[in-house]
Amino acid sequence: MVDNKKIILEVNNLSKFFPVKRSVIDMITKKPVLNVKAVDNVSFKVYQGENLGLVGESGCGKSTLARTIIRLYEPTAGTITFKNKDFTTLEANELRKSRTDIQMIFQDPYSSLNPRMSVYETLAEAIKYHKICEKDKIPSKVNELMDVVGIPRYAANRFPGEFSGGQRQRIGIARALAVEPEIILADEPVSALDVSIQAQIINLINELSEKLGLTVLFIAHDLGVIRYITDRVIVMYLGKIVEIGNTKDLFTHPKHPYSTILTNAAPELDPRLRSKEILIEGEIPSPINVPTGCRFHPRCPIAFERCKIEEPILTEYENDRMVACHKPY
Amino acid sequence: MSKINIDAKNTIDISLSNNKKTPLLKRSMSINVGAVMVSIMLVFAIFPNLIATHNPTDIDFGAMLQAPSSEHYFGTDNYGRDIFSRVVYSTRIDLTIGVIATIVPLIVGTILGLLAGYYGRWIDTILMRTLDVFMAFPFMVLVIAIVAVLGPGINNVYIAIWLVGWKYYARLVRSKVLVIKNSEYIQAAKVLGYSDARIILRHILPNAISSAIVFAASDVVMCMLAAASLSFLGLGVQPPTPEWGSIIADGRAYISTAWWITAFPGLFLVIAGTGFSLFGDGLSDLIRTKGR
Amino acid sequence: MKKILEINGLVTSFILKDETIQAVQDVSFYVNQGETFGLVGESGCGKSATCRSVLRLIRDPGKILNGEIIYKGIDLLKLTDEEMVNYRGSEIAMIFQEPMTALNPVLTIRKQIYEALKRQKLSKNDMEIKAINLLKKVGISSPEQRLDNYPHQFSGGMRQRAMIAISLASEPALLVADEPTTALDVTIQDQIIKLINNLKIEMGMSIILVTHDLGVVAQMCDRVAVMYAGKIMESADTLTLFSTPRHPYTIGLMNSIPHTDKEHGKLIPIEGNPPNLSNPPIGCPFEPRCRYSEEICKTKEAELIEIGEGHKSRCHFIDKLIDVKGIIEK
Repeated sequence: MVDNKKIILEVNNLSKFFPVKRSVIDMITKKPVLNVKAVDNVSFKVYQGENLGLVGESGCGKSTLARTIIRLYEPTAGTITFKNKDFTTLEANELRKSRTDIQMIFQDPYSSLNPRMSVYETLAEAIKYHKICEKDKIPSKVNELMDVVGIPRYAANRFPGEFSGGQRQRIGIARALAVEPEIILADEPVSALDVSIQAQIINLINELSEKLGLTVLFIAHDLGVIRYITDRVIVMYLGKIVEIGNTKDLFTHPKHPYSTILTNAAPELDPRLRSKEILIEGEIPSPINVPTGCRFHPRCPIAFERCKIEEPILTEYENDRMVACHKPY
Repeated sequence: MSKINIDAKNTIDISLSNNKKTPLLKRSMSINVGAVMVSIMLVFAIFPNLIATHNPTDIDFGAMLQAPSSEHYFGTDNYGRDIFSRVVYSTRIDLTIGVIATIVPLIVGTILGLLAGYYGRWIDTILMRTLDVFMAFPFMVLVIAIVAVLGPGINNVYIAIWLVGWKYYARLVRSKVLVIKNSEYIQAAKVLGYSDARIILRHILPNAISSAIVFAASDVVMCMLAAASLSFLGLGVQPPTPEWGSIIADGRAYISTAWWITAFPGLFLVIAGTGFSLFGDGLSDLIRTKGR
Repeated sequence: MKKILEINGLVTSFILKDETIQAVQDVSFYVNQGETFGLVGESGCGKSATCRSVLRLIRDPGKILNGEIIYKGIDLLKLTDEEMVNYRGSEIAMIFQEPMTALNPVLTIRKQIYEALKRQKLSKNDMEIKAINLLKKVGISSPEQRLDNYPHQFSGGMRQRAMIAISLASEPALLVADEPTTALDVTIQDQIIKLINNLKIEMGMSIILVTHDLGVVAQMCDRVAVMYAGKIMESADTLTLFSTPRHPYTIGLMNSIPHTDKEHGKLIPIEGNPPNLSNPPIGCPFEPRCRYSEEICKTKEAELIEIGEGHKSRCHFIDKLIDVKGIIEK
């Protein structure tokens, strides 16, 4: 864990809405523009050198949040501050230079590499483009990267099609490391992999973050992976943060009812611990029509009148814990 | 980064999933047949003087409308010109027309398709609506109309085909780009801060162009047929230059008495057409197996 | 206990132009009346090909080359295609991983349930009552209205429920479930697991469950077989497997699952990649990745032998594993 808590990235009131496509008839009848509120007024801090987890079910906005932070999407509102520099207002040219600070690892190893570029070309391109080292040192730099992620050097001239999923994911990690970033956003980096390969990649990311002092924002829907790899965790539901806390505390004593359910929902690995009781009824509502008040109230086991009307604010509790609930556990 | 040193135990063994490499040409029969037919045509086109037995434009009124014989393999026409030699010399002109008429739309259409697909918004809207207008007319009708306005002649045939031909390539490339644009390796390239030009040229173009090239191989046939048809109508290559379409047009009047004037250039047109089509087919087979 | 299904020496291969992929190699197991039998393994281990073989749903270029599939005393592989139709969907039903591709998008749920009920020759009224009851049974609220919806109007979890309702329409004795919860979110997965568990008891069905997730196995299965490279590596009742695994691959799988924090259980991945099934190794297929392997493993494959009551393992060095504890301790 981090001792001296230096903030490296700060997200303030960040929102990302996607307008729903309107038909001509909608425009004529002047129907209001509907928005998918993928990320709605989200604020949090990332400390230097930590592994921060971002967890939630599909449609909770975790991937959109990551892509907005890295400006693959332009934010609808709010600011992203990276090392006291406003990342949201950077001009195209400055943004291009700042790309060496934050990098990303993608989910699908089968579509995240250019199929017509060899491993060497992929890695060398990034190094050359950002002038990470002198021209004559590029080959040795590429070799070094391949060593770091565990791809043998003799495979440098092979194309992505010749590698397995786990190997491709390693190449994707090497590409992100090529520009020597400080923060890595890992968007579900292991969810497309088999269990035995998944463990290899988790260990690799863990090792890299420790040895290189990287800050990692690790996005996953798998609670087991999040619990294993992260120091702190953010739980999201329908575009909002419902709870932030140290991973250990949050998993042992979740305060938000949704966190409680989520941490218990993964099937227990012990056949003796079977229950017939269903943890939570219903499904996640559409992000176009979010419920009033607390967004979780229609599914919440302890909801009361106030939850239907008033939206709870993310408030700080002891131990860096933040919870958005009127009646936290 | 050079300071760090990670255990070698992380190094994995690369076992290739597909290490047996079948020779490329063995995988597709049609590309072999197509290639043979196309290369015969190429030999004719490059060395017509070595193959032809007569001068294609020499008139010999003593040998008018002769049937095929050992002297005139494909017979002679109403001016006594040797059909075999005329057909052989035509190959060069027809192939050139096919290739030149294809390459310009391929390049222009690809560029437009890349821009429209990648940037979207108003560029895409303008291009696609223009395309709809062009798509509304059949290819030949539009080409004939344009040549009729510009006046007959081979240069105007080129211009007409160029003006019409780009639409297929633009549409093909655009649809490919729309898919590729959303793939994670393009997002990765954006995250790495690469310029739009680099993303389009290095990352999108090589992955989007394959189907356009395959289409071009069979489009050569379409262009050759278009040029031959225009010449047949008297709008294309002007006499006395030998060209398959114009030879067929010349023989029209004698079809019942001297079938050879029309049959042999027709046969060559068929061979060239089949050859390029098979070649294009085989090419797409290869690209598909490679993409696996 | 009565065996409802027994598979002996099943061999299924996919014969391609330039290679043959041996997806299932000599697989034998049985399923008792009323139990859930799990087939667990990673992608490409042959678990899906095995369960599709049961229904004879293997399409070209795949072929069932050998073996017996004995369902209630009848070898399904000896039936003609027409006879097989009477079993498929009525005696043995199947649910799939991705309900959106398994449901017909242009038919309402009503039409799809009616189609499954066709063989029972009910009156229109009875069919409607039965269809509504089915939707109620799988936990779809206001079934009267939902009956006339199309699959795209359902959410992911609802679609899976609808598919289960359709497959249960004919009251099958055996349900083959191919990764039924993999495409779902955890909270929805929890709902579906419990739904299937309850339905099994309520309807007295037997289930073959195919999954890659040991957690799902723990929650659903009575007995389980672990597959790797087209072969069964280990089989046992679920509790035995989770407490005393006796095959290096099973142990490796369990060590690969993150289930607690770093300090309490370090992940020990299985190094390397699964073998190529068009050219499998001569010896044990797991040998190249196995931390217990010795010379003999490279040349000679172990037999699947009984090492305890109902517990089988395919390993030369079971003695070495005697002290290994499972993911739970007994």
